[in-house]
Amino acid sequence: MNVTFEKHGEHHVATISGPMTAETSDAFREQFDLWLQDVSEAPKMIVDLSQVDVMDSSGLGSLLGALRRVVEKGGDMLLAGLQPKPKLVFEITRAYRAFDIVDTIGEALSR
Amino acid sequence: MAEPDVADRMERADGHVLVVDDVRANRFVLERMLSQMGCSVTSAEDGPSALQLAKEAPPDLALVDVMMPGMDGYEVCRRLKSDNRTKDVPVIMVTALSEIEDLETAFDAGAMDYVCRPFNPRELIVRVRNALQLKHQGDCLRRFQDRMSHELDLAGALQTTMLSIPPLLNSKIQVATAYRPSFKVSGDFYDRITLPNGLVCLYVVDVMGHGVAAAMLSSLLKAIFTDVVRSAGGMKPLHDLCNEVDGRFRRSIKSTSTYATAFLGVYDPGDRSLLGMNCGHPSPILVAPDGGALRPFEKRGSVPIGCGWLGDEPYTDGDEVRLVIEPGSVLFAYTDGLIEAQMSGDGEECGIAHLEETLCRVVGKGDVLGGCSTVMEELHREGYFLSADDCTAVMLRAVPAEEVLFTEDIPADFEKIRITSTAVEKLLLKRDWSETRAAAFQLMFAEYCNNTVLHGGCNERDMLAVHMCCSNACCTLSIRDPGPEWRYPTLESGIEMPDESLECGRGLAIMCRVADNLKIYREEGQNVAIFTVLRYSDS
Repeated sequence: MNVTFEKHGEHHVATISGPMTAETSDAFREQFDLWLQDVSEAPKMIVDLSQVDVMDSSGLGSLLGALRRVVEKGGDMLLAGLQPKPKLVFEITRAYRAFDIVDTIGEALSR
Repeated sequence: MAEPDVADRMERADGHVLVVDDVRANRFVLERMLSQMGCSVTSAEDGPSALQLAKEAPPDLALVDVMMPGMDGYEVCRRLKSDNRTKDVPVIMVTALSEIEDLETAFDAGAMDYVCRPFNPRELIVRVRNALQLKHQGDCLRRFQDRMSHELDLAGALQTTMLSIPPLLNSKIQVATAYRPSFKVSGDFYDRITLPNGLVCLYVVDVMGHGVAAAMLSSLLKAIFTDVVRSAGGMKPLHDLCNEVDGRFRRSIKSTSTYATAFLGVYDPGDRSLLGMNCGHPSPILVAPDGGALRPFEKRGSVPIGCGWLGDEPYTDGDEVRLVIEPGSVLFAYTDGLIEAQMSGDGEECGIAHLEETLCRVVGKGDVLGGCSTVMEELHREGYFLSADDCTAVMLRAVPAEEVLFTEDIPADFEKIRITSTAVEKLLLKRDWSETRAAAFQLMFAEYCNNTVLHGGCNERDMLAVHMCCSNACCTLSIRDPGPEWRYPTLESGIEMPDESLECGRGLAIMCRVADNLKIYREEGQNVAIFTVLRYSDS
C-alpha cells in the first residue's frame, strides 16, 4: 500500500494504491495522521481508491478513522473510484451509508 | 360478642388478606376477625382500589363482597384472575344468604369459595385458613417448580454442550450431527471418535424414556461407550465392543427394565467400508449420489443394549453388516423421535418412507454440514411435532476425491493469509464460481484468519490448518487455530454490523454475512471454524 497527498485547487486528494487490509491499515493510519497534522484549514478531502484492488474490515476501519478525524477538523471527505472488491466490502458492511461516494476522481473535483 | 371465644379456639393462620367491601362496618368486622387469627389485613372500599392494591402487593387471599356499587364482586374476581400479577390470588366471595343462587356466577368468575353473611365465625375462620394453607402449598410448589426448571435448564445447557460435537471434515469424510431434546434434557446421545489407526467410530444411542432419568442413564452409557471404543483403539471386533458395553451397562444398573437402542459403526476411510452393528435401533439410511435410498441394517442386528433378553454377550459377528460407502453417498443414522413425530392435527406419523424422501431432498441440496438440522427443520415446517421425543441425527458422507480443493497448514501471518486466500479465490473461479461469490469467499477466509492474528494472539509460528471441499452445490471450509477460545454464544445469536462510528468489529459480521452456515467449536485445545458457502446464494 502506498499513499500520496496532493492539493488540487481547494481540494486535498489522497491517492492510495495497493491493498487496504489488516496488513497495511496501520501504515495508512500513520501516514494519514502525519499529513493531517500539517493541514491548517478544514480540509476538503478526496480519497482516490481507483488503485485499491483489495480491502478488508481493517482497511475499511482505517478509512472510517480518517473520515472521523477530517470531520473533527471541520472538513469533509469524498471517496472516488471504488473498485469491485472493495465495493463488496462496503456493501456487506453497509459502510456506504457513512461515506459520500462518487464514481470518478473527476466527478469529485468538480463538486 | 362471640369473637374472643372463637379467637381462643381457633388456630392461627399467617398471611396477607385483602378485604373488599363498600360497607365500613362489614370491613371492620372482617378486619378484626382476621387480625385476631394472625393475618395482616388490607382493606378496600371498592373494586378499582382493590385491584390497584392487589397489583401493588398481591395478597395471599382476597375476601370480596359480591354486592358493591360500580364494579361488583364478580367483576373484581374476574379482573384479578385475568391479570398475570394477581391471577394466583385465591378469592373467597362474601355474599348475603339471599344471593346464594348466584354462586355459579362466583365460581365462573374464578372464586375458590364463598362465605355467607351473617358470618358463622368458625366457618369463616376454617374457610380462610384452608384457603391460606392451599395458597401457601401452591406457592411452595411453584417455587419448587421454578427451582427444578432452573436446574433442568442448567442440566440441559450442560448436556447440549457435552453433545455439541464438532463436525468432522477431511479429505475422505464429512460427519455432521444435529440434536433436539424433547424436554430440556435428553436420553439420546451420539459421538464420533477418530481412532489412532485412522478409523472413525460413530454411534447414535437412544436410552428408553426421556427426561431426567434417561439423561442420567445416557451420561453413564456415553462414558462407557467412550471408554470401550477408545481403549479398544479399533483393534477389537465390533460385536465384542457391543458385548463389553452391554455387560458394563448391566453391571452398573442392575435393572432388567432399562435398555438403550443403538447403532454403532466403524468407518475405514481407506477402503470406504463401514462395519455396522444395529442394536434394536432403526436402520440408518444410505443415500446414493443418484438419490436412491437403502436401509442396509434392517435385516440383521440384535437386541437393545442392557435389555438382557439374550443373556450375557448377546452380540455375535453374524449380527454385523459390512458395506461400502461410495464417494458422494451419505449414511444417515437417527433416533426414532424423527419417524415417530406426529403431524399436528391428524396425528399421522412421519414414518420411515417420508423421512427417506425428506432426507434425499436435503442431501440433493449438497449442504452436508447443515444437513441433519435441515432434515429436522423441514419436518417441523411440514407440521410434524418433533418435541414429543428426543431427536438426534448423524450424517456421514464419503467425499469424492475431486471435491477436495485445498488442504494445507499455513502460518498465521498476514502476508501468507493474503496469498492463500487469493489462491483459494482463484480455485473457486476455476470451478466456475461467479467473481462476486469467489471474492466474498476470499474476504471471509482472510477475515477469519486475520482475526486469529489480530484478536486470537496467533503469530507466524502458529499454524492454521485449512481444509476446503467444493461440491457442485457448496464449498465447505474448515480452519483450525491454536488461539484462545471464541465466545460462541455471541456467534450463535448472530453478529450485528457495528455502527459507522466504530473503526473495528466488522470482521466477524462479514464472516457471518458471507457464510451460509458458520459454526465455531473448541476441540483438543484448538478453535475449529467450519464455514459452508453455497455456490449460489439467495442474498
